[in-house]
Amino acid sequence: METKTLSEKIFEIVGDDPDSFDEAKEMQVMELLRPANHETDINKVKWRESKSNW
Amino acid sequence: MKKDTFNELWEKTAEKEINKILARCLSKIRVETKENNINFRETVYSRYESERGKFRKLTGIKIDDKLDRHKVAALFYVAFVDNTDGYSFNVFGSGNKRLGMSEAVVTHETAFNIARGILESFILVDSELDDGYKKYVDSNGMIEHELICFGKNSETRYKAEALKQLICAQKEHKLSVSQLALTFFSLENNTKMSYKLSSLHYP
Repeated sequence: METKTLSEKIFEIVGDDPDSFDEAKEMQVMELLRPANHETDINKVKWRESKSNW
Repeated sequence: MKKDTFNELWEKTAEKEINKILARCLSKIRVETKENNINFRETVYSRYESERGKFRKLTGIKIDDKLDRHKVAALFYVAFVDNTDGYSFNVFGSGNKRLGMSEAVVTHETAFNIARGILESFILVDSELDDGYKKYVDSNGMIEHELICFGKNSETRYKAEALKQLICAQKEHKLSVSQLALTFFSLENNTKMSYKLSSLHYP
């Protein structure tokens, strides 16, 4: 499935009248730009030194 | 980079990507850049040369040594997205100051697309690369990384996440040519791995 690009999503939010781009729309843009986050429970991690050898 | 070479790069790569992204996103509003195309091109060239000089001084790369394609793409990216006097690439034709981050997205995405074109252009003429790989790049372009930490149905993609980080870095005045070059190196490496895997399946 083709995902929309960031620019396409931006143009959807801005709409046909950029002059009326308000705080609510600005918050939508900020929400869009929040980095994806893969949550991990740090308390479950068993720390170890790397086995990598390069 | 010689002016003639830059102008050709602009005409064959940058301008086409600019028009592509505008055509893809065009709505009923009239879109425009703050400057006309020739002025914008001249501005980016001037920034490119300035960034190149700073980068060579910082890294000690000799003036006679040619820069590799990842660094050329990185320098172009940084020059294109420079917003010292506000983003040159104002697609909305509006004085609404709230549109700053929206302009950032379109500018950065266009720069990223142009950088991919720069990488592909270099790869296709690199005599040290095997013909199979070059043919693969000619047909498929650069291959996007998978986002391994996110679910199959995740709506985000590598390019979107990379762009978010680059926009953030610019906000913090930490957009780095070296780190961008490494990003593009990693992108080419991923493309090479995709080619090798495809060769296993379809020898």
